[in-house]
Amino acid sequence: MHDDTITPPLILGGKSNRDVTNDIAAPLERNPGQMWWIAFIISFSVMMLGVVAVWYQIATGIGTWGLNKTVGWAFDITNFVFWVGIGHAGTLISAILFLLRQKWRTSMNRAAEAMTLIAVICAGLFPVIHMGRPWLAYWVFPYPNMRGPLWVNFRSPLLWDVFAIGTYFTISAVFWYVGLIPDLATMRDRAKTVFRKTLYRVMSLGWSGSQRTWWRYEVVYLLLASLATPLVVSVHSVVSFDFATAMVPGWHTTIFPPYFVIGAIFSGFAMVMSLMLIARSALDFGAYITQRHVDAVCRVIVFGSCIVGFAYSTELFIAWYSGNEFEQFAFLNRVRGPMSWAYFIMVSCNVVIPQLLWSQRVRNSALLVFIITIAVNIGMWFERFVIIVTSIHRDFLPSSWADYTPTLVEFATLIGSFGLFFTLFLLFCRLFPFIAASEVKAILPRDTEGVH
Amino acid sequence: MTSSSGQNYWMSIDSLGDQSLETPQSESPDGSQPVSPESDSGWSRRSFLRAAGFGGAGAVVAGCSPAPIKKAIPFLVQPEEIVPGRAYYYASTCAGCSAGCGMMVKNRDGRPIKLEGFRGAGGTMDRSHPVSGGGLCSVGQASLLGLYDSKRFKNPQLKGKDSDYSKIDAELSSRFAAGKIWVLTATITSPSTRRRLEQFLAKHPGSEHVVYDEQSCSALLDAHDRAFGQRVLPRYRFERADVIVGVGCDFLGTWVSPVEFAAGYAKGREKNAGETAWHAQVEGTMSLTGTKADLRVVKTEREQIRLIGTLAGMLARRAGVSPPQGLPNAKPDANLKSLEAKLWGARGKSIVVSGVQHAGTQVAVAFINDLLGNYGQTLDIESPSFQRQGDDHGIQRLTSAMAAGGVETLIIHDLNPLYDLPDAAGFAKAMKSVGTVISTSSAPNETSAAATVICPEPHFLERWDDAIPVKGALCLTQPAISTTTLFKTRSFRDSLAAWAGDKTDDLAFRKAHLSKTVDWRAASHANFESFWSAAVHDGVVEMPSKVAPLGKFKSTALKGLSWPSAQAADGFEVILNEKVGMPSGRHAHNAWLQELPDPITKMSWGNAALFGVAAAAELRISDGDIVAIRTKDLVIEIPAKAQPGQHDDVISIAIGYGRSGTERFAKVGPDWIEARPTVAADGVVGVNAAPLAVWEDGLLRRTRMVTVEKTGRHIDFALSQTYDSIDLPANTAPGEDRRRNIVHETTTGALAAKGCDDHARHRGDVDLWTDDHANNLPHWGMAIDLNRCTGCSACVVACQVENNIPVVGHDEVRRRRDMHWIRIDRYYSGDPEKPEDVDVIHQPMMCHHCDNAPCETVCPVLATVHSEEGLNQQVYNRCVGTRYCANNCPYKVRRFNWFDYSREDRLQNMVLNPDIAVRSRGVMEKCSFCVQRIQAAKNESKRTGVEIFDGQIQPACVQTCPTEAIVFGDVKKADSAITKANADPLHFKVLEELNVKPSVGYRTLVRNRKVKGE
Amino acid sequence: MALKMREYALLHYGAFEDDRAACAAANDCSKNGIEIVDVYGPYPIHGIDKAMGLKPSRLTWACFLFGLTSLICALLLQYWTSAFDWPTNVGGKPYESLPAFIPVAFEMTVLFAGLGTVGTFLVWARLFPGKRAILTKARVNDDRFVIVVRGGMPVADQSKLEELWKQHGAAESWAEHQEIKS
Repeated sequence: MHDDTITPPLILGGKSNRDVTNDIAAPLERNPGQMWWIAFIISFSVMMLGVVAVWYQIATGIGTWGLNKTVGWAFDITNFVFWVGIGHAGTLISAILFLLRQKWRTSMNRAAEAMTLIAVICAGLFPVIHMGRPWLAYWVFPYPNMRGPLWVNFRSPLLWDVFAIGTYFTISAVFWYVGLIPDLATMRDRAKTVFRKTLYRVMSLGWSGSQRTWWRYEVVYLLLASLATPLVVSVHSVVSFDFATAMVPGWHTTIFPPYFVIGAIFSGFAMVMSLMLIARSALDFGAYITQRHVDAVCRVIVFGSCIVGFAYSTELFIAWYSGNEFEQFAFLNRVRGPMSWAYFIMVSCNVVIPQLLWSQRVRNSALLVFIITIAVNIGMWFERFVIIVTSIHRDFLPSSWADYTPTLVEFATLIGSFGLFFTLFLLFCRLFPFIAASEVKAILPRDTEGVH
Repeated sequence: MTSSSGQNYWMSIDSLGDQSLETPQSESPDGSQPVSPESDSGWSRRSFLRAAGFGGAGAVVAGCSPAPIKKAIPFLVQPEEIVPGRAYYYASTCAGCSAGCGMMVKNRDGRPIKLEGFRGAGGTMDRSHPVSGGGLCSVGQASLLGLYDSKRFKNPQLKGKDSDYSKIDAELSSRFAAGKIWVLTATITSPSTRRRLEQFLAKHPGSEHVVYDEQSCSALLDAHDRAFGQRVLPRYRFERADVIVGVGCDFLGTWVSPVEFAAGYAKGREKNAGETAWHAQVEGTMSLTGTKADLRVVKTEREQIRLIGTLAGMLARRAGVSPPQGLPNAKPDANLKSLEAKLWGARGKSIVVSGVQHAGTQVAVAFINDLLGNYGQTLDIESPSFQRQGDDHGIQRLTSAMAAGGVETLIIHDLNPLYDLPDAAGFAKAMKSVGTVISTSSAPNETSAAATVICPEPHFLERWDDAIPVKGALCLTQPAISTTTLFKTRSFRDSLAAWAGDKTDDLAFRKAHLSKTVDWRAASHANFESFWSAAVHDGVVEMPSKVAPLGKFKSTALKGLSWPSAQAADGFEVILNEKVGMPSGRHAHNAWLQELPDPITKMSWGNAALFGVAAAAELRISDGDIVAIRTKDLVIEIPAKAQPGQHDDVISIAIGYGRSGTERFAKVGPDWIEARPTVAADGVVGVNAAPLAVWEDGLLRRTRMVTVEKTGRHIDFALSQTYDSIDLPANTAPGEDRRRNIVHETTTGALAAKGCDDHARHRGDVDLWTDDHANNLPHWGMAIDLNRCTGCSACVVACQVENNIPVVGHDEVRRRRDMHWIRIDRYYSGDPEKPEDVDVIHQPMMCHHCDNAPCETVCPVLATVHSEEGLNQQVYNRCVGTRYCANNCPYKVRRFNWFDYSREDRLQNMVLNPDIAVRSRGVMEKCSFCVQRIQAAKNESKRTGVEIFDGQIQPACVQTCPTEAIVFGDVKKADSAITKANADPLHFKVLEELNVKPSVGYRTLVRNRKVKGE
Repeated sequence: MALKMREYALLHYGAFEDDRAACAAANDCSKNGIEIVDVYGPYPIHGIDKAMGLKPSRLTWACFLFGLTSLICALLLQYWTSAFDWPTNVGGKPYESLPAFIPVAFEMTVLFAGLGTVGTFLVWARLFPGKRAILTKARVNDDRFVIVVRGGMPVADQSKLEELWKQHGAAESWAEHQEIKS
């Protein structure tokens, strides 16, 4: 039960169910503002830049990336791991916090899940385009064929990725959609234009809020949440297997699965926070995304930052403790080698800067929080870059040591993936309720006494 | 393929009936009954289709009319002996340089597709060529590409226009009459060509013949003329030497007959541990030979000369002979003392050899060898070498004669003086006064550009030839292409015959001449015909040569020779040297050689001015900075590079670069937004350093004093290795001992003391799982002897030819995307404070075919899997190109097709090996242990029922290695060479601790020293 | 040929602003033996299940069965392809390398358990694209809770119903004929 005098309510302004519906439907029903168009045009053109880059690279050859026979992966897999990581927050918020009965999640789970979906789309792009022959990417699926039949190598972490990412995307999408159905019904009942009428009628599957359906619905939602929860943990663990099961010193590390998962949640929450802060002011959801939410997320970020910092130091300690010269060299090379600048960025952005969030005064400043979360995102991108590139550019045989310089095409592809992300996210804001109305209504503070 | 078992190698003697030899068109191998069926039907279908395509393309290009391949009808009239898809082998002689190494020409569907090291008759794989044994160097391997060079002259030219020989001969006959004829040729080892030349000269009285070598040994020849009255090279028998002292002479890499010398050298070093020959190298820069030396004495050339003089004096005194007058007499240091002691200790079993173009030095060297009684022992002067005959005085006579206007006609054969003479400009100026200049150059170059008439020489795979490179060895060259010649070319000999008005057919002429001059009876043959057949069949005949009386060393020889002063002039001493892959400008048009990383600098596509490390630091020159090298009369701008092991007063520059004709490489390599051209700003590859050489008392000196200044401009080198040390960087090295233990190295002293340190060979035979792949099929493995390996890189080119490896160009190499399946890692070791005396390690590195291959586990689509015979197979068709395998390969031997590498030159495509797929863009590739050869051998043994014998299967690298450093075979066979090699206590595996179970191992590098670093 | 008769029934509707009120009302109805057809609302009302006689859902079982099946299938697929259909030596590892098969098996389990459950739910709840929703005008997806009671009851009950609506502060109440879907 709420006692408003002790903890501020999750939803401010004594909103009634009606208000909630109106507030949440408002951004979808009013015409997109100038800001939205500007944002959309920018992100769309950036996306097109990426499209051109990818087209050129596929038409000309992967050689248009700065890779070489020593450094076989760099931006491509870095971006992949980065985007998958971003995705994690969404699932974590919608699934794990749901199981933990964290009611504050309701204000942001919808958007976070959408972010997850879009991030995973961005992520899924890179394993495909990083191939030498992307047009044969479908060969990674075990389908009956006329080649023997020649199946796939179930021992390869890359194949595990295919399944992990595939499952992750599908389940997240289903989870997101199932959660969306009641709100789609709401929108359907209010819809004016033909387009929206049809869109919502089809998508809401004829939902009419029958308690019998709600009764089953809650079970399904619970089941999905409990299925998605192991996914949150497994997906990035599997991604980390790409490195953990390889021989390369600096990759071959047992700490990777938990380290990657926490890193993913860390970066994911940072991204959620950045987006929420933008959305809150843009769509004026101040009453729904309150300081309580900001604080909650910031706590998670600080926690993640500490764990990540702990992981970094554990790595170094284990390298030293292992007594393995290759292992030791790999980490010395990270910290003091030719790419130490990347390591420096990683540590300062991921471990040092987020510590500011311990202070309530920092947390109260939306701007500071925003800057810090951006820093964390940069830092986490560099974490993957450091892990991938600094490990392979100097591995076993000094004769093969090589440096890595990205090309314009790689930069364009990276920026383009952000363009794709924001384009899709902006479309989402226009088409679907940004906040899970039905869930918010269920946790509205009741003016009268009594239980709910 | 080569490994088809031996006795089938050869054309049968009977098939070489006279009739088949007299008609010119059947001089082509097709005329002789081929015997070696290459492989089973499975191959031949595909090969035939390929062959069809290429045959067509060939016809098309030869006819100079671009027509789509599908229109061509291959073998419209098929020579009945040729079975499509079968490889035939012809014994022949390499003409890549004048060394005259034996070789096998692998011929497929009427065209040569690979040159191989020589293999003796009778099917045993013995390497019995009297000159080269069984090896072939990188240049020899690559010279195949010259045959399919579409930039060659397709017709003879008269005054720059295409013409035909009848017109030209008519035109010339009048001009010959007009006045004095000079003939300028490189060394001619062919007796019949010499005969033709004599005829020609006789026909035109007053005409003169001048011989000149771009890699001149004039001083050495002169010295033997002075000392023994014989202007010949002794044959250096390194296998017989216990002590070898090389002075400014890269005899393992580029000097006179590297394959022959390397083979002998390796044998000499193969005595049982502690007993191996001791090799000291005195040189100014790091040469390939220097990398193998047990003691390297770093000296400028001036110091080298004085050292030799001093050494001569010391030994004379030690021998109780009064040292000749005028010898320099420096104060001997420790090194010199040990040299003297070692040499004296090995009288009759030592070699002192110098490449310095300085009369006194060479006479002094001859004096020393004579003093030590090496002549007749390690220096064979009874059956001397004719591999160098050039006389530097001659070309100067020619120049002045031309300047004086006394030359009406100049015939330049097999030379490019306007490129590689130091005063090329002066020569060109003098040449203006010559009425007619005739060049036999087969492709456009500086000289042919200035010639009135061009009678292009056919490639040596298109013509018959003979050679006597060393006395007593008659080597024959036979054409190996089904058309008589690809283009309208005419051999120099035929030209001479035509100009001398001699109508006799070349074959008849050759046989007639040889039957008179060659002592064929000594080769125990009933009649000349049988001798001839044998000679053609085996490619070489050895005849016990008559012993010429060994002249006594004339003590007058040393009189009146000039010696450099003890004081160094200020400035740098530039030393022109040669790269192993680019001994002279002669092969500058060869893409394979251009792309071959130099075994020392690891640089391809260009040359550099190499500075001592300290000197470079002092001048603040970083690698790639372009410096201006000044003498009083010229300036040369060239990028600089620091070279460990080089004297700080020395700048060394490789010759053979900056040649016209390399403009063709402008488009080599993929074309994309960030691509950079392969040629330099001036449109050619590298910089021509020849002008820096000087004439000094009649000799071409490859050294002079220069000054250096920076230009502020910079280029990036195409380096295939950028971290050079075996030691980790100081700031990131985990421990005190910074050496990364991937090459095991010891000294004879240490071995004698405590044997090889076994802790280095820990056996990681622990597995987490039980092996369920056991079978009783062979398991292929390879062992490489780091002591025998000289780093000569012949294997690299051999592999490139055999496996259709693309040439990717300067920019791609710079980006570390070179495609060579086998590379030679070069590491420097030693005190970083003393960069002058570093040690060098050569470590050939190719796919290790690990039994627990890390690359296989990570491939999502099973594109790389393990064969039952222990091969790590790459399935190109299945590869989607994730590059995960390459990341996970600890040896970094996987190569990725970053682009579609151009295969547009149709004629050049004829060199492709039909048994190997040409890889498409986006797939991984790597060493396959030449699986096609393994398959061929297995099919062959299936067909004939003869079991594969050990050593029968030879991957391209093994086959061509001049020093037999690589052993390949079935590690499951108890008695196989590979099993023995693996059992050697000195055997080690690289990164064994990873337990990937590599199938490739190495033999510990043993330096002949008391303790490490001595 | 049997002419398809459309069956109509009279239904009583009571709309409430507050979920707790609706819940109470529903409970009273069932106490008074008035049969509740269904209750509609923007979010689930907890505590109304007894009134409506809702049983614990069997979806959990569906989920479990889907998961189990896909787990077994995934493992079988991997064993069969790797060790039987075309056994290949990959990095010297055994043909049957179970540890390597676990990740894929796990992911397949989750995937099909999830899809299966949702599928079953949609079937059981008769939700499908294009289905016509009811009560779209009654703001049941907005802020109202509508209790639907079957009509045709004795007059006494009917009046009781009326006052029961009032007592629980129904925003409005009405009755209409509605086609009965069976």
